[in-house]
Amino acid sequence: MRLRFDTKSVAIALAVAVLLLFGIFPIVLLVINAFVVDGQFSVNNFREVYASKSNLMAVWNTVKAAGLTMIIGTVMSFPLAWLVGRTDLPFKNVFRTLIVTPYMIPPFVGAIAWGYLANPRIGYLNQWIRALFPAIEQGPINIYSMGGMVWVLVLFYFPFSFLSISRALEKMDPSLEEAARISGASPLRVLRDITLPLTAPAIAAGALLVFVAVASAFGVPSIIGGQARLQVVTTRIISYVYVGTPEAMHEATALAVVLLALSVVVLWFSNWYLAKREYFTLAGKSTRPTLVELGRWKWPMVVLFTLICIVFAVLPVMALVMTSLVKTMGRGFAFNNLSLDVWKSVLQDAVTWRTLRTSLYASVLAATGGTLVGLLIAYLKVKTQIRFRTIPDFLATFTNATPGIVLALGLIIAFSGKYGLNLYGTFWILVVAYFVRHLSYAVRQAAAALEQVHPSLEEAALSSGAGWARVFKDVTIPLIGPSLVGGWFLVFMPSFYELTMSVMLYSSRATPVGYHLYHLNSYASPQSAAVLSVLILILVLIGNLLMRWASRGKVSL
Amino acid sequence: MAHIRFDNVVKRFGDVTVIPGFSATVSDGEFLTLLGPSGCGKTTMLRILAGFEKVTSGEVWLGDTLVSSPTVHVPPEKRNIGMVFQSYAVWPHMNVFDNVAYPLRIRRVPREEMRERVMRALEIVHLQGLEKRMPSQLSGGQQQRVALARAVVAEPRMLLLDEPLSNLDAKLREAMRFELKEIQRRLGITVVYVTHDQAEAMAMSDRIIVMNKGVIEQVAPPAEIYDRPKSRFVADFVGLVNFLEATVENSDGTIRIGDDLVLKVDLPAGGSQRVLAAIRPEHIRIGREGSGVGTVKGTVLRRYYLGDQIDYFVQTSGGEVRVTGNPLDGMFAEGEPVVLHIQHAFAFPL
Repeated sequence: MRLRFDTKSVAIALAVAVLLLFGIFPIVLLVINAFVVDGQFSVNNFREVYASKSNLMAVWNTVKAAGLTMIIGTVMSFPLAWLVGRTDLPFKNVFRTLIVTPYMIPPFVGAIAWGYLANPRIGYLNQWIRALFPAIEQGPINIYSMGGMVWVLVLFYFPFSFLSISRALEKMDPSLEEAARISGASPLRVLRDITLPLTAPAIAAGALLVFVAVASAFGVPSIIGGQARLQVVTTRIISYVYVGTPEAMHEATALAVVLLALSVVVLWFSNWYLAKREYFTLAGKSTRPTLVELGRWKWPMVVLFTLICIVFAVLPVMALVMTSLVKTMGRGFAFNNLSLDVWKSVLQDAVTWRTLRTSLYASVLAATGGTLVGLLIAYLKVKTQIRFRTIPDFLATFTNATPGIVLALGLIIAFSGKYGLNLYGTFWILVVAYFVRHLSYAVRQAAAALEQVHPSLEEAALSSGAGWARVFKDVTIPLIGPSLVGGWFLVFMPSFYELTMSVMLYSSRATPVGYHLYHLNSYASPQSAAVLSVLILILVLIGNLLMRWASRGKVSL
Repeated sequence: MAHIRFDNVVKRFGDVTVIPGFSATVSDGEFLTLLGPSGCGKTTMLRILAGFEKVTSGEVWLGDTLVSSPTVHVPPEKRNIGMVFQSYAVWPHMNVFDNVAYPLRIRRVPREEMRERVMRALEIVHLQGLEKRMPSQLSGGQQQRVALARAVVAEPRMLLLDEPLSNLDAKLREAMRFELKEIQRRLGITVVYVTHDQAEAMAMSDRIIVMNKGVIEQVAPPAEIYDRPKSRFVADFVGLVNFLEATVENSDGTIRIGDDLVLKVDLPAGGSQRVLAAIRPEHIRIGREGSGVGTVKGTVLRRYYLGDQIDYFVQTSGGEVRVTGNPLDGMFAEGEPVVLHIQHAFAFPL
């Protein structure tokens, strides 16, 4: 089909233009800015930035935190995924759901929760340990350290790895493992000779995903690392942006470009490696894998999983709820120390509602725009024959892979009025940021759904005399509706509690709730932060249930 | 000596009973096929034999060893069985040699001997020279041969084949039937074969077990299954068949279909006055003349020319009858009056 000037082409062209303007232009501009000083090409920026010892330290800390999280997360994920996917572990479906609960909790909320749990002075865990062992006078756990930071990062980023490995295990043809069993190999031998090598690409992909996500993370390093005086690249960039001078912006840009390069290289490598190594081993009819019997290990494993789920899912939520209900932090969760005062004051505070509204409006706009543009980009990719039709989809993936902090910096540079459009300091820059960063979720949902719609369904409508817009409205949209709704929520949810970009893009006129929470926790009132965290968790839970319901179970977090 | 023995095996998944009770034996060196439509429990039985599924009750014996019962379960790796899976399950991360050598590696066979035995197995399946290839460089048929070589390389006590030909294209599938049978003869190995394709079952098996809804309908050699099906299900599932209602004329087996067709059949037990007669299209000869027992007049309704045969649909007083005609016997036009000669028929309770 040739590109012609009809409704379809115009709509698609507009969608691509929006993506190019708001997504690609800022990133390109950022890269150019990093290399151009006073109109001249130069690497001076980088030389200056990386001559600074604290910047080097921040890079080192980033690599260290991301590397450790990746290793620990992966080493932990594989056995968990295998036990849940390949053994007769009782209650495994419950465990599977609980274990990835951190996936639904915004990481910075998790960091706040772990602050309450393992603050060396007043953390609940430390209070309990000291109560149990009076000999211990202080600590003993200090979350505000590199170890503590990695711990929290592992908890909130390992689901990337866990889900990647779980999916690979589910996708693998069970007869590959059965063939090894019948060849004489014991279950453990099968694990070593067949399962592990065949899931290696998924393990590697998951690990790299964790690395990139952690390296671009801001919430956890800022909340946990900030107290420990640990600087990472993202927190360093924010400090420079807050200084705001042209020199500081140059330094921020130079740091951001390195972070961007890191993400792009890692993701490119991961895709290339996967494309080369992924075995499409889905075939055969016995989709129910033979389960390895745990025998006498069965109940010890149940106990272990229960403990893990308590630590991963129950403890942080409990800490938030408890903190939101006590009168004075540090006096513990005792009956005479309970009160609803903090809840009252947060719920009566106009700022709470203003920031919630800001986030709600911005996310609804971003999600609606994302669904529309995402649908058109997906349509271009799946349903047309135009050359380069997959490029917009790729670009959306790219803006999604770009660390939020880098994207936000690019948006500041691009839309501060220098190039004709001044969005910085307004509500709209939040909308743009959320839209661009999460667009690829909507594209992916729409593309997957469109691939299921056989061309003949649309051709039948076209041959009945309907125009393209009519066919789209009458045939295509109803068929892919549930997936579109799912895609809408996938953009909406992370936008609603977004922190990293919000920290850079908020203004007094438009403060999103993520930033408000961060501010409360860091500077104002940790207890109010607990209340707001619980509120956000409730909203996330409702959103997730709504998404499941509205997409008819097709999409869930 | 019975090599494999199923003793009243029952299998339930939760509340669903898949196999309500299965008893059968397989002798040494026999080629036995489990034949039935999908969901009939044949694959479940094979997986029970392999040790991938446990039995709910009953026993499975391999020679003198009890391998499955509610209290005993010998895991698959200890059963010394070779198996070919429907999806071949050739490991994509190992080359052909390593795939075939795997069972020997597990058994710690010395390097030299292993090499020799792998080469011999590859020769049997005609894959010499491809041992360095990766599975992704092989065709479906070649992967199938790798799976077969891997299944026989360790000289197992028996070979289990789970619809191994169903993913091949029609020509290759046909050729592989004969080849599989040849390999089995050469190795003298006991084979349990699962398929829903009756032609495969007929071509290769010493005996066929026809299964339906977890129950054995008939156990017999192919010719008997075809010529003397024990139940309506078997007659219908294996080959084509015309079902016509008939009245019993005499307890010696004389039945009448419609006004003018009188046949002699083995009557089913029960002594009912009405039975269902079953006649295979290829057991009917079509001509222009004839009368008496086993003949009936009719009119050709429709004719389909297939090259090697002609399918006629003929209207008789007892109903519409499908007939397979031989082109050498000449052609009959649509609307032409004909006489059908029924050579062989069977009867089932109505």
